[in-house]
Amino acid sequence: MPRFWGKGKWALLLAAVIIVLLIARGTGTERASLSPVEILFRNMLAPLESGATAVLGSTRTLGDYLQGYRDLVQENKELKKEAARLNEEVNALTEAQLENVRLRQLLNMQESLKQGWQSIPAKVIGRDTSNWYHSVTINRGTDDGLEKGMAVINQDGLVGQVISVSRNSAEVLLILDKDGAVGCLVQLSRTPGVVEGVDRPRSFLRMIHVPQDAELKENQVVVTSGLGGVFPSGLRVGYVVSITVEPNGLMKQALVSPFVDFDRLEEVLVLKR
Amino acid sequence: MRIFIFSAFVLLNLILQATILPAFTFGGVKPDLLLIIVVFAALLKGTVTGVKVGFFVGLVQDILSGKFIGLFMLTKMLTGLCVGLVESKIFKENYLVPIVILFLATILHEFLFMFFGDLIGRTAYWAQGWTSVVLPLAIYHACIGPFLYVPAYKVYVKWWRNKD
Repeated sequence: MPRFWGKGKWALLLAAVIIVLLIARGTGTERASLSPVEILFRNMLAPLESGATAVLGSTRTLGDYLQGYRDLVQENKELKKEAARLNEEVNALTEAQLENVRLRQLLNMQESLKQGWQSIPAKVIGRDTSNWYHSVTINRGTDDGLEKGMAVINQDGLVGQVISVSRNSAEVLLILDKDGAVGCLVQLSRTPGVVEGVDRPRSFLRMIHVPQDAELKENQVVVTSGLGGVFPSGLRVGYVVSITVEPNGLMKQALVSPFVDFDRLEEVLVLKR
Repeated sequence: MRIFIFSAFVLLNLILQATILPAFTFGGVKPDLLLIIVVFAALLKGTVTGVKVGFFVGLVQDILSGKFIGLFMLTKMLTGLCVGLVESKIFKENYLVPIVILFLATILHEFLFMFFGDLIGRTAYWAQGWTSVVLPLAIYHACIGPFLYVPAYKVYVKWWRNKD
């Protein structure tokens, strides 16, 4: 055995594990705010994450440019340069146009919000580093008036809620996460239930605790119920894909496909009362 | 100086993991570069380094994630410890062995995460966790492992092996 395992080290290790677990237990997603060290670290990293995300975007543009460059080299150098420049321009315009469409949709969403809710636009600058949490980092923080618990949406529907905030960034727990359950109801029949994330199939949701006699059909739209006051009522969540009976045989559950494409989240709105 | 360079390297990997790696999702999972760093450090330098690197890398990841402070620190530290225990028993030049260890260490790390997570109140779905995260991630790591281990081993031989 290496020297590391001297006498008494096992007891020390066990004590350390228990202490760390107690700390971890007290710092889950329910705590009121981040510690100063976490805030400092996140404030430091947010600009770097923004930069890395921007670099990823520009790499894609550069790839398009290079593709155009290769095609045109067969004709002549001057035409190639001109075409590459035009390609770059078209690409930039397309990007701007697509962004414009997304922002317009966001604006429509913003206007359709019920009275009493304000929205703060934000960009997604990072995603969680592990495969166990479903969360993203956005580029707005306490400086912009964000607080823990605020709802986050985009033009397609409900995205999640803010679980921690630093000065210039915030962590958004997506509704795909098992800890991000939301009170919902079926839009037409007003059948209530709770929507939560599932591991398999990935990127799907599950509506649970639906009464056995409730009218639940495929393709029905699921919206937020507004109970609990975190999310406004009527936000689009997803549509029912399939219906099964819960293991206890007393309730039904439905597999729900979310309207939001969580793999392509770029701009979001944070809702403030 | 080496600690400074290593810290910057960890930070770089952390940012890569949060920004660019989600584009390299395979089988529903993205590689955990930070775990790979811990495993390779423990494999090449042994238990004490494995624990130290696991502690530092896990703590940094915990601070950035803002959830359950200490969970990644604990899982990565224990993984570094377990991998470090076999350091003296393997041939580091045989590139197949570290890949098998990386596969097993990934399973161990993810198991520890589910186990400790369950203990401290994080919602855990054991059966689904194995099929949707643990096994796909272990296979993913085993596939990319050789491409990462070879340069890591060269850096170790050139800069690290005889510098302590």
